[in-house]
Amino acid sequence: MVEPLMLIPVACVVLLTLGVVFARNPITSAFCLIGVMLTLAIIYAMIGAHFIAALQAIVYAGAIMVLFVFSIMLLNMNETKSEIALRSKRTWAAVAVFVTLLGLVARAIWEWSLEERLPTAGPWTLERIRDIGGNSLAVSASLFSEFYIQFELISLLLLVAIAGALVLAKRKVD
Amino acid sequence: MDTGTLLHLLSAYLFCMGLLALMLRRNSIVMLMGIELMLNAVNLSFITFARELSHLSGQVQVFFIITVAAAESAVGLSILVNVYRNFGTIKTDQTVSLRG
Repeated sequence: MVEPLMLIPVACVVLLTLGVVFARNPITSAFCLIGVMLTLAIIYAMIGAHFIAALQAIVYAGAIMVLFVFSIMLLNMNETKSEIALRSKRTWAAVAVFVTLLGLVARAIWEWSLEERLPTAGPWTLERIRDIGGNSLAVSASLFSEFYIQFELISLLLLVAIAGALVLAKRKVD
Repeated sequence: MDTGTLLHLLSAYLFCMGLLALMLRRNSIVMLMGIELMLNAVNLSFITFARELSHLSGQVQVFFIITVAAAESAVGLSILVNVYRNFGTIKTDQTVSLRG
């Protein structure tokens, strides 16, 4: 059974996502997206992924969305009418793709959830994570032992991204 | 229906809405937001699977995805600022030539 408390953030995510896609003004979309990310952080915390919940709130809702809001301010867009043209071929195609994809995936998930599944309990049950001292400790232990090469490569990627963003956004002197 | 199924369905919905934003909108910034929605959908799926299978690898992958998303949006938004300088707009139906 679904925990009743879980339905509140799920409903919030569903409504705020509509705001992201259909809002006329980009700044409304950005604020709805901040809401989506914070609500997802709440969901992560509710299902026990505390470290990722903190990361989602700090990096996604903090850093990335600040970038978005600053770019919108910088680009100075004033929308007067909605850019979604109703009854155009493009809109119909987009809606058809949306309905088909969502229907197929939802049906697959639903049938998969009805199947009898073998209990595939991995090593990290909630009790064991609680015993060794919490989710953050368990995730960071895994990050620095099993995934340390990927961790170093990701830091290299961030360095390249900083350099790329600086070069791209720099004002040309000539 | 248990909580895991609900979250998988939410993840599918988020992914499709991100795709819809990418297909419907002409404003490049909102299209980038659609990509962020799709990345968030995948993150939610990873974490739900990690909980169902009692594994931590899914959560570590989400850590990596968040980092890549930060890099992607930093580079993408600075490209958009450049596009705006050259064309005076970031609507994808008006920026049609590769020449700056």
